[in-house]
Amino acid sequence: VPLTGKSRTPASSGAIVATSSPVRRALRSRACLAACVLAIASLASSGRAPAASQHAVPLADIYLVRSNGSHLRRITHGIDEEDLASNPSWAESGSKLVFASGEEPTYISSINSDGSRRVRLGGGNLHGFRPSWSPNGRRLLFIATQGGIFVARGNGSAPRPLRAGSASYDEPSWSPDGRRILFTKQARDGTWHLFVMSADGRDVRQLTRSPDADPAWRPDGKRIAFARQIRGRWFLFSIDAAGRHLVQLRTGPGSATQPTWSPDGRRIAYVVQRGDSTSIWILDLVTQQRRRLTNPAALAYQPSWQPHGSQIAFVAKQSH
Amino acid sequence: MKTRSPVRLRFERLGLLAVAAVFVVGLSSSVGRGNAATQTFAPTDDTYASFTDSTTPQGSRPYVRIRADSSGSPKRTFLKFSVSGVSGPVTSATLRMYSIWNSASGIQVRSADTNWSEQTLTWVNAPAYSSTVTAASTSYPANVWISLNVTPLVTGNGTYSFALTTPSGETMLASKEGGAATAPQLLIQTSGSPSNTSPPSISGTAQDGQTLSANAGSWSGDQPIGFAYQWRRCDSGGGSCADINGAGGQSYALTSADVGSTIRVAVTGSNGAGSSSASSAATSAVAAAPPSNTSAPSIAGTPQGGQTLSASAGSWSGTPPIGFAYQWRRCDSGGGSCADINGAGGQSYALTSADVGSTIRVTVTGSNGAGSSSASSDPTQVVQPAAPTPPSNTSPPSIAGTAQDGQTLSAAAGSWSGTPPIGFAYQWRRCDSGGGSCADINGAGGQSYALTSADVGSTIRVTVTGSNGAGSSTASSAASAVVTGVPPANTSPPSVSGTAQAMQTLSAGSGSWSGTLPIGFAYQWRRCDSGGGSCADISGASGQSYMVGSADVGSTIRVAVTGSNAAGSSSASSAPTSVVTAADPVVGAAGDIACDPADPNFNSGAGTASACHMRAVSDLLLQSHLTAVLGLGDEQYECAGLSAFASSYDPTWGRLKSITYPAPGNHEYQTSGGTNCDAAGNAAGYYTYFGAAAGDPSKGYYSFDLGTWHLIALNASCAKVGGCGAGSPEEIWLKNDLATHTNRCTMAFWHNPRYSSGGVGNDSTFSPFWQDLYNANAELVLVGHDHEYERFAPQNASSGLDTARGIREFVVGTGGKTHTNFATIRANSEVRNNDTFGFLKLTLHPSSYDWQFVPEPGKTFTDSGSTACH
Repeated sequence: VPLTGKSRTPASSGAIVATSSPVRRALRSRACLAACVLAIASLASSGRAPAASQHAVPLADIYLVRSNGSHLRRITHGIDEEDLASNPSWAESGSKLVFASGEEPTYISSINSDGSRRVRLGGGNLHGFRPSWSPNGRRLLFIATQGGIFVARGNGSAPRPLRAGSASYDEPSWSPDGRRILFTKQARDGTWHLFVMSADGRDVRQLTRSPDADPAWRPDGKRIAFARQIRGRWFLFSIDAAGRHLVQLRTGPGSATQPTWSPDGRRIAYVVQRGDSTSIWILDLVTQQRRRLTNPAALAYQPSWQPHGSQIAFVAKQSH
Repeated sequence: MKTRSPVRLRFERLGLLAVAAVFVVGLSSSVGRGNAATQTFAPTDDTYASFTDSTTPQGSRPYVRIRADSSGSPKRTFLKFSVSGVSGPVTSATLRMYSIWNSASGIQVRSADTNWSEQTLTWVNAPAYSSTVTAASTSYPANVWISLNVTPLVTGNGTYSFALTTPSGETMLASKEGGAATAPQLLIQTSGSPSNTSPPSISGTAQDGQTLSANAGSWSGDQPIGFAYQWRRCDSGGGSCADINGAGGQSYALTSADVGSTIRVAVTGSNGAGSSSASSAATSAVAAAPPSNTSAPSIAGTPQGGQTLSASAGSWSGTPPIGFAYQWRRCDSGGGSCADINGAGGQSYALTSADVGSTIRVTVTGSNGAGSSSASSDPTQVVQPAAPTPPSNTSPPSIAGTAQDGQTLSAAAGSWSGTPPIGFAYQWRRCDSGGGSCADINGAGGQSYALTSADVGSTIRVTVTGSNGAGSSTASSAASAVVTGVPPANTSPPSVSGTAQAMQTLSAGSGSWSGTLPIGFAYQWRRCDSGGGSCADISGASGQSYMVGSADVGSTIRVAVTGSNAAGSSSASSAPTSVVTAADPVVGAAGDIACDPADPNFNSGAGTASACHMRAVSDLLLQSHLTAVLGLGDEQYECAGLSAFASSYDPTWGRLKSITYPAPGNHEYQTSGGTNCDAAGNAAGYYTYFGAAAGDPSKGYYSFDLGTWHLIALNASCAKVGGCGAGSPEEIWLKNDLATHTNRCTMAFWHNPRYSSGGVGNDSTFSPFWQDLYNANAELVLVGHDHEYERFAPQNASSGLDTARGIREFVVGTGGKTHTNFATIRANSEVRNNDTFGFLKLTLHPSSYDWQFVPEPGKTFTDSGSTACH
């Protein structure tokens, strides 16, 4: 099987990672099992985007890859089209992740970064999206499937609403010091804006008033990256923690969403949508250089950068 | 007083007696008190050495001589004293010499060796002496004592020798051989307490206000001597003295309390050995101080005819008591050319017409026993004529006009006294029916007042305020009769707004009405023939709005409005609407609906907080007056078994089955995992339950018209119908259907989204459908599958924004099952929500559509808008 997914012609390759050499190395190693399967399965479909004409059922799973494109591996193994893994979010230790999987209703689960110990939290009864552990791991933030920001113990027990009611909330995340919570809230006109509140759900303050989404704290807590829609297309911006000093990030062609910061705050991984495909790119904020991390055909999204580490977790959709 | 010391007496006498040499003085004497002592020693040897007679001793001569070295034949005098009997530290030592000749340059004294005698001392054997001059005198005449301070050279008992020289010229001094009275002396003083030797004295003028200064006098005793002062007030003879409190300084300012008394000062000298006091002589009797003005008199009051001015004397110095006399003066307008005003000698002065145009000053004369003086005030401003008199009402204001709502009342000011011109201001007041409890009517400040409905039942008064330069006063009219109301009368007919179409709501405008407020309005909607005649009340339609019903189609509608108030009522009717047309179709759409009866969240069909809300959503559908319901696939979970339909979908959404147009979803074709699945994978439960409404079971796609719109249901389970790609049977059918239905507005609906920010994402599988619809200028695509609500901007088949021809897609996977997560927000996504169950309500107008997301109870998320058809 030829694996010639040069970055110049990435769409022709089914490999998830854009550069070919890491995949080649991965193929030779035992850790690559998932990548091998993906690469082979995709290439089997005559080099086209995965199985479009056959409408094969794609599965969404969580993968890890180093930010240099090496050491790609799959850590979840979905069972059917509705077992869609999503929202991977690292524990501060960098050794495990919490995520949602769409088995209708969606469950919140944790998994070690080596793919072991996949456990449904809250005794298997915690349903929701967008889970994230507090920096000290003692609390778990998520969106309940019936709506509202909820908080539970780190193991998913004792969930209770932090902000709920008639309004709609999404994308809650802890500040790096664990004292504040960033989230989005839907306005009456249907658009979503960024808000921040204290960890006990009080002192709510609106940060933005444009159609915004996907907020992400920089690990030093001083800036927030997010996506903003302008004439249909999405662009990345950052603001300071008080909502001021807006800066646009140079994300290149396509619609850019879902930023996640490297531990040193120098780089941002994010999702680029062009047409029907999505891929993960890395932008170096110092050199302004962009690099594509995954092949568009791999339909990768929801990147999450490992705290204090070099791995990026993400979801990719591949036909099996 | 202390007695003079004997030493001083001797010195004074010496001064008086000049060269008298008969006075005998002991070798030494000690005077003073306590330990103090002054001892005087005569020399044991005194002689001089002469350069010109350098070998002859001169010790027996009655004089000594001194001649400057610069003369060429110098002479130097040597003295030697033997000091004994001195006790205590030496405080001073003074060498005294008596002059026989004068000296222009004075003499100098130095310490000298003591190994000589006057019998043998010559120029050649003269003792050595210090090059340092210890003391020097100034020039002196003949026959005086010259004192030289030799304290640094004398430390106590012992022998002391001194050399005397002169810087120029020559002089002669008495030696011991000249007699005791003029013999040289060495006076040695040892320590002792102060003793007054010359009494204190007072300088200054003995008059109230003046300051006296004390001089301590002369004192003996150890230096330094500190002095304390105490001023004393004594009788005119200088006796019966008493300390003056607080007067302990070296100077003392005399006050009026001292007038007639004399003053002494007692001085106490103090040093480390003790203290003693001495008193000055008494001053002459202290004289009083005459008055003197220090701040000019002033005048208070208004300089205007009829006003009274008051004088203030200003401030004065001088011995109290000071009496004041006043004299008012009339001056020209510049304050000059003043003349006393006859008879105006009081502290106040009433201005008269004679003062108008002048200014006024007052002269104040202050007097006491020591004399008198006068001071004048600044002039007043020019005296103005007397003020006018303020208005005063003499006949009260009155009101003319009819006391009825809408009428205008006029006020007459009544009669007034006072200096003209008098201006009048009016304030209308509303009072109770008895004319009491009046309150100002806001903004009613004119001479006339138009009565309003607010006045009905009240009486009215007007208060008039007359004003001139002198002031103002107010008077009130009698109360009017009680103001009566006016019944309502229509002045502009009622109106009807809204569209005359079934299912539309009409609203009534009451039109314009005159009459006393408040006017209440009652409404009655009436159904009339197409010409607006033959109207009849519509039963139960008595609100301000009316929803047009199907029974109204072909008729016109009027609204009759009845206005009522306390004075009566009357009615008026609107013009008829246009002829009521049939309603535009309203459809409700959603997919992903009914849970499997075996679902843990089924809960007897009621669902849980987060899942299985098919009943709640269908309750909303039932209340929404829908023309049709569109099922966007996955109508029944998990596999659309017929018995599952019977126990889950049918009791909920099935209540609208007769108007439902379904499209099949993937769960309809699922072969396992649920209740009563069709293992053959032909969605038998779905096609059986919906029957002909679901179309041909081998296809599952069909089309129909609603109102002016063409609607197309497609089957997204492509594998079941030969694919969905270009050239597939379904795609060919779609293209043909679009070609044969050229309705202005077209929509299609199926299950799997072409575009979605949800987990399913964008799926180009459905690009051929989209392209065909786009080519045919279709407006809308409705889908489900992702369990959320999402609205997209109009797009072409390749996710490009196209506001001119693009098709708007709604994902409405909110029919009741569950919610799922958004994965990646896609370009052109306009609105998203995934925590609210509900349905999309579309009103299909002939050339546009309205959309509205209808949320389940307890949720506020909604989304609405309108778009024109292509």
